[in-house]
Amino acid sequence: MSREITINPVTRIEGHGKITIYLADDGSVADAKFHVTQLRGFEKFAEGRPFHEMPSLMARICGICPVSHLIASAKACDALLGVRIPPTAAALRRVMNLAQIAQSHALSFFYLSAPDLLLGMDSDPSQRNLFGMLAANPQLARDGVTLRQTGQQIIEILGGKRIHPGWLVPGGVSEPLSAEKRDRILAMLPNAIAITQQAIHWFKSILPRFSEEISVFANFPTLHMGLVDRRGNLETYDGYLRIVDADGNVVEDRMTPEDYLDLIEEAVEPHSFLKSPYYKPRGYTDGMLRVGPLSRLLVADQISTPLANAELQAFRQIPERQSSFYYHLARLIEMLYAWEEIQRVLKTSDILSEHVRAYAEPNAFEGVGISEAPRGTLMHHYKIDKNGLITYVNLVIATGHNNLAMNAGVKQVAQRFVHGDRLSEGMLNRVEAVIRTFDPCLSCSTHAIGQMPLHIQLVAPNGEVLDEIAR
Amino acid sequence: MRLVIGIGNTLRGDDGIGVRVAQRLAAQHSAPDLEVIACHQLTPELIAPISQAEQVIFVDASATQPAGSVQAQPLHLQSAPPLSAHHVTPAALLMAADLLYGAQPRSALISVGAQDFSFGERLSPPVAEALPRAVALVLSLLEPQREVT
Repeated sequence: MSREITINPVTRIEGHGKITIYLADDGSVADAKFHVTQLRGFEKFAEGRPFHEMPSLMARICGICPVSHLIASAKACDALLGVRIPPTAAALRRVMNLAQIAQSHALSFFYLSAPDLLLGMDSDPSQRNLFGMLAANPQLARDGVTLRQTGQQIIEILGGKRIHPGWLVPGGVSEPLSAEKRDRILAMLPNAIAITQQAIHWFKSILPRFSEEISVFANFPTLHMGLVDRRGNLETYDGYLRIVDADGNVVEDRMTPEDYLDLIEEAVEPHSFLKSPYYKPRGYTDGMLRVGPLSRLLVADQISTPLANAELQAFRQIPERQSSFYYHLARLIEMLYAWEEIQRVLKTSDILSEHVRAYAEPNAFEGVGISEAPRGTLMHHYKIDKNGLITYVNLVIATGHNNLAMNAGVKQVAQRFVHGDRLSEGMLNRVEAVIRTFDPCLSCSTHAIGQMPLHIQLVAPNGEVLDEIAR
Repeated sequence: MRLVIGIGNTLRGDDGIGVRVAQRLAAQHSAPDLEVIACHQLTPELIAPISQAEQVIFVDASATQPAGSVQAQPLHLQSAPPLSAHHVTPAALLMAADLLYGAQPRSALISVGAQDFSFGERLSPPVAEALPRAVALVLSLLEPQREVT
């Protein structure tokens, strides 16, 4: 008789989710699904609002990545205005986006995933949390605190406040940077760079312990999407969309935000509120995409900053770099890039220019803004009427792009680690951990209320729920 | 450095009282060695400023105290629940600051009884009336050598 396992809620992710594992008659895993059980509705209730409210409205989608939504939204509004924003404004937005990516990666790596990495997938769940990690490796914990705080402080210094800064506006930013603020940020960066390098070194040293996880943590060929600059460098704020296949062949290149509808189609699955975008020309589900830190490193030819580029070139030598387990390493490499790039940008000569905003009335009825959020490519698409009121909003979110791959990854891990009726904590933790490699943020992807737990269910072919774990 | 951390969501009525106290302290009682942080919820990176403080006072709304009552209580580190990235208590932060940095600032939690957590930016009358008393209590605790027992 076949059966079903449910993990509900999935822990240490951002949002509410649930995993169902379907067992076949012989007790092997037939299928597994990752369900997102929360619904929000931002796309709908933005309709009728004046377009210039969109950045601050959209920032409220999430307390984790408000900055990412601000950036994509402000860019979509720039497109509605039909303006090219002042270069200093673009540079300052770039710095804020990088600080956002770095602080989010620090949260994901040091707070959410490090307990598994440090204490092991089978360790006592009552210890497998931040406190357990503090006790086992206080230096790593201190480094996590420092890196997250560095990113948060940069956002706060630039935006005036940390969680929902209102500094980004259509046409640029609302205030120029002062020399004093620039110097405060620059002073933090050498330490952040050194600590990030230590974390990379530590992560590489523990990799041999996770060879089994590497082999099955969503380790399969998919397309990868991300932004690159004109020269093919890793890019997070602006640039062109590029899609590569599992062998690194470029499938799409130099695509602009306006082209996104030619590239991406969104499927809706009955088991989840999270949409499943895919690469349109290859169809559903052959067009399965991944986005985020791993994908960005796989689409970029190189990184423009030296230390991160050296790490990228080393990463490219890893045979199993398609495994989603390497999202963790990619996060650390991107953090290193973020600190280096912030340093470079802040040292440019016109960074203190007072010309940081372009003013205009709307010049287009439709605008698309694309930027890289910590979890991957983020797309905001707005339409307005002649009075500048929003008539249509479509948000294609990083976690959505990864949905098909996360589902396939959950299935791959369940098939390797879950057998019949013997449910162990370590098995189920691995099923959750593969989800955590993607660092899904369900709050924005479904448009969720509240905090973030997940839930696993084991289901028989007759639909009977045989076991259930909720944390 | 003395640190005051006001916790709450000002869009949910009385829940914002901790943030209101922090805002009033920052506006009217600034001092060179006083740092005031207002936040929606506690997060692990607060361990860093806590570890540098000689005294930390948390201010939060209480759903169990009578509306408008203001209490100061000591924080017991032994009873700290596990630290997660999403639900962090004052005691857990203090324990982490001790474990990671060997910091043991004097500490207290000031809680204000709240009754209305519905959507809205206004405090209910008893909580609005408690605001100056809560500020005064923070200020009195910030006096050197006052201990909460």
